[in-house]
Amino acid sequence: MAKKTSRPSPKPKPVVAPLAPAKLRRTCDPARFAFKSTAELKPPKDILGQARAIDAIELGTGISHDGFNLFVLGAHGCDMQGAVEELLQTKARRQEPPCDWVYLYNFAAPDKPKAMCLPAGKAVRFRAAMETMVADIRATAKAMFEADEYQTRRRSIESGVKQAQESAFSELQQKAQELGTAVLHTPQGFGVAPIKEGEVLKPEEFKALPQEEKDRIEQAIRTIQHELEVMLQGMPGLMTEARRSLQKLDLEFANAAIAHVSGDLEKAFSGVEGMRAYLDAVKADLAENIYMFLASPEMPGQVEAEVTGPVQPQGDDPRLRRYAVNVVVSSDGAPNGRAAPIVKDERPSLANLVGRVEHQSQMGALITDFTLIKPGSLHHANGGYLLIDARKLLMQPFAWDALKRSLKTNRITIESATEYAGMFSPVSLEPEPIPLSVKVVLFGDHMLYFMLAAQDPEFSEFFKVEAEFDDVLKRARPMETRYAAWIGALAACNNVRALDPGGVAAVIEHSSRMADDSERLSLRDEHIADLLREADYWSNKAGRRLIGACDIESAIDGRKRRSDRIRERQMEAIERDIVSVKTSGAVIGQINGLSVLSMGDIRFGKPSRVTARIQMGSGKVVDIEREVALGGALHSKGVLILSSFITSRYAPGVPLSFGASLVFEQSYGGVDGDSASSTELYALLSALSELPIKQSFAVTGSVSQLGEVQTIGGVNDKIEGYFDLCASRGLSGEQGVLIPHSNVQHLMLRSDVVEACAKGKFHIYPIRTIDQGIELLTGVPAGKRGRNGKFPDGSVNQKVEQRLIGLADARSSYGKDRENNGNGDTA
Amino acid sequence: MSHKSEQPASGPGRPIDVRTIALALDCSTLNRAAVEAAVGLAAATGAQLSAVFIEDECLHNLAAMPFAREISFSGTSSRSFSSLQITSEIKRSVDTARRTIARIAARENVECGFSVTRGQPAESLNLAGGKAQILALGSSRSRIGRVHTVAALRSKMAHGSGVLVAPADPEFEGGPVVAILSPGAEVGAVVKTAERIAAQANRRHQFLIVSGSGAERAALHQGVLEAQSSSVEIGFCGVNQLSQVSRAIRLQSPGLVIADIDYAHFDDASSIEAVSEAFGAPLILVQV
Repeated sequence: MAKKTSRPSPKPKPVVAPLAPAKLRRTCDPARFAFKSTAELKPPKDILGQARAIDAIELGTGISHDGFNLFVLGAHGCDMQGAVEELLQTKARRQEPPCDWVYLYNFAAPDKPKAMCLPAGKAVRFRAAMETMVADIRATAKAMFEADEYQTRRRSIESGVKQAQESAFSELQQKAQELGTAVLHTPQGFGVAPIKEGEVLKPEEFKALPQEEKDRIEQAIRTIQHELEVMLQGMPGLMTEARRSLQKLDLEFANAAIAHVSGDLEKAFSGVEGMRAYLDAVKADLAENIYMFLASPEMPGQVEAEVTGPVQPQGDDPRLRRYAVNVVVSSDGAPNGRAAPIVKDERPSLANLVGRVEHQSQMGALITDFTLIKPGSLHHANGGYLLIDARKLLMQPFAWDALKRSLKTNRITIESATEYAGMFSPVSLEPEPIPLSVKVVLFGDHMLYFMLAAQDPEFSEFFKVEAEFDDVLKRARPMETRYAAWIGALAACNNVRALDPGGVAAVIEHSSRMADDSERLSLRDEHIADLLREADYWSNKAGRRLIGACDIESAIDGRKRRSDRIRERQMEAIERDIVSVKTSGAVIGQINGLSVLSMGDIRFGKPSRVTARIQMGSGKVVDIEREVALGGALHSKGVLILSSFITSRYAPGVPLSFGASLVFEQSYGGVDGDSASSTELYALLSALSELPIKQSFAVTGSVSQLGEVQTIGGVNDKIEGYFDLCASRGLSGEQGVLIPHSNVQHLMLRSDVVEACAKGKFHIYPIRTIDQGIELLTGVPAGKRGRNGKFPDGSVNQKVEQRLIGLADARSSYGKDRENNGNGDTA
Repeated sequence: MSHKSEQPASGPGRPIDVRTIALALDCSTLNRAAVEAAVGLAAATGAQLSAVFIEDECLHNLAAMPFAREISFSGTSSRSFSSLQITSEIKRSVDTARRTIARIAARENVECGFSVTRGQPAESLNLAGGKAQILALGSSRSRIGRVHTVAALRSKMAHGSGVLVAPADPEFEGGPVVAILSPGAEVGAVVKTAERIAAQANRRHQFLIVSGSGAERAALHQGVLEAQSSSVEIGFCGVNQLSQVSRAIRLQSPGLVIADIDYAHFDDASSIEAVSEAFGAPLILVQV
């Protein structure tokens, strides 16, 4: 009789089937693209996927009320600034350019320079016109003051004084002669002497005169002396009058010279507010100081040589600097042309923002004047838009304060840091503040935005519009085509080759991987642009005309290789059993957990061993990581949740009498997040039920108090991290990873992982509940509580409950024994 | 200054040959510009320079009077003064003048004698001038109106002599020598004198012909060309007024002006200091 060969008993059907390969990576078929190269595609008209942000920017820039400045926030890697600039350019071109601003000397208060607004593009012309006028005045004044008319009139006044003096003197002499006296010059003045026949009397001749005659002579001398004194005292008056006449004459000619050259300038700028008053002040000052143009600075009073060379700028002659025009803002030659300005301040320090007053060292002292006022970015952006990185702004002392103050007062006030800090500062200027009308756009990340909103009560007063840039967009088929156009535009903008459909498809797949979601595409254009640049390098190296899929793969692999050293070291440690992670066999109370290590641009999955131990206790689950301050709050929360799960599910009515401890073995770097809470729960259940867990599996997922396995982050890196370990040891076909079911939509695994799964060498299991997971891990049904309130015999849950009751009984007995022993009674 | 009665080396119509310069000073304000001009002329011509300080006898006489008082230049104070005081003050003036002249002369490498004489200014001036061809008036206000009017000088100056006077603040230092020629002037002598002095002083020389009549101007022009040994600039002024002539002179930026004492446009009563001020430059009035 033929022996019946017994068929091996079929493997029990797993409660959860592994995911099909198609679910592990959402591919993009290049064949669906109708183009041959992205160069054929028109760039998208609007900014892809940022409708919310665009609407916010439109609103913020459209509202002219105070406070509606913008804070643009988004994830790192999104080119928010570029996008915003593009939007603003369109708006700015439709706006009129703002007016020009100049600083002028304040004749009434020289330490308070005046600001003046001129029509756009006129400031430079005004400056040139003033320089020309001053130069012309120099030539005109010289001509007028050297002309016959002036010289004659001047000499007439001067000689008039002399003539008056001499005439007075002559009259006095004549009178003196009539009285028989004469006025003589002495070394220190004048004397009056008696004369006879034209000659001064000798003393003996005088003595010989009759007394009457002597008296008469003395009286005459006294009379003449008195008149001489009066005449001499009146001389200064003559001089003063002459001086006044000369000044009047000089003023007359100065005004004539100035009027001759200033007419054109006055006409050209007559419509400018404040110009008339300023020019009147200039003319008055010029007239008063006309001598500056008639003498060189080194030798006052000396007539200057003819100016035959080019006009010297006023700055070369310090006396003429007051007539200079300091152009601080001009749309003449502005980068934005005849449009509203868009200014990016890359270093928004206080001085760069509101401007500064420079000083020059002269003979050991620091001096300044209005020509040394320098504008800041607020000046340049006035009437337009100012773009600033918020983090850079906050790092500059006093800058944030200054910006808020400027927005609050709608004025730009130039103050130095020393003034802000209340420190001693050299004698400086107080330039007249300039009215401000600007839209400020700050750029930052979410954390910075929310921190400012929470900590600075003024923040929401000045930045009412939040424009949030999304970093992902929904991946739908129509969107993939638009995305392709976007990639093409990005390539063109970065001067790299266009892509073929294969290249585009590879980018799209990588983009989903960057988003960590198969149903999303990344909008981090800076990262994509970097990828394209690297792919262009590979394409160029291979001599290809277009970037293809292989170039994209080379770029991805190259990037990974460059940052792979730490991951390789970690893996090596596991392979060499320095860090113990099993990938086969089964152990009670031990399970493979998965975490993601993230350091800058480096990110990879790392398997680690989680263990649980049970002893009699009071129901506390000790999280060893937390005990030694290596566990973060979220991790602690996860542990508390699983504790609550156990206490609520098992042995109701039985006092908790177990103590448990959980630890990430050989982890010294800190743990946070609750993505390992299901892992820890499995370990705990295994320890309680004393059922071993298959070490061929790794697990990730957080758990709720109801035993639901919940979504975690970094699912792709975690799976690949465990896969790489298993692959390095040789895939057995038994290995796999348990992930939350809700994470299936995020899967964008590497092709080698997908291939291995397709061949049945590796498996990914989507888990919804703890029961599903424990069944897969132990190979023992979890068991459902029946109507009798009990779990089926031999099920995991039954064993757990039995253990808990056992521990409660043991604890209770222990307590009684202790009591009895204490009283002397025998047990 | 040479008297009319004396016959100097240069006769009528002959250019002045400057061999001696007398610098007359008194106790009125020293005219530094005049001193500089005299020293400069001496340096250029190699003439002998001697300074004579004239102590006004009249001051000593006045100081001896019981009612003698000195009124300050400002007129705000007066004080009595005695012979001792006046002597002391005059001595101070002498010392100051001596030092100043010595400094200026040393700078120009010119030897200058200094003497003091007492007497009446008019006579003393004549004595001080002596046989000098040029008498420079080195003080600002020596007996205004008495000696230094044009008329007074004309009567006292001998042929071949000249009087040098300077404004307090000459305007055209280092400028050319400008000679004024007018109808009646000894054209040849003036031209030659100007040419000689300019050559010796290493300066340019120019002429200004002053006449309202075209014929006279032409004649004077011809005279210049005949007397002049090299080409020269000639200016014309057709208006016969001192103010117009002054303007014409100033346009030449003169460093020294030479004019015939018989220049018709000089008002007899006008002081030569005033004329010099009008020209803005030292003036030598020559009797040729």
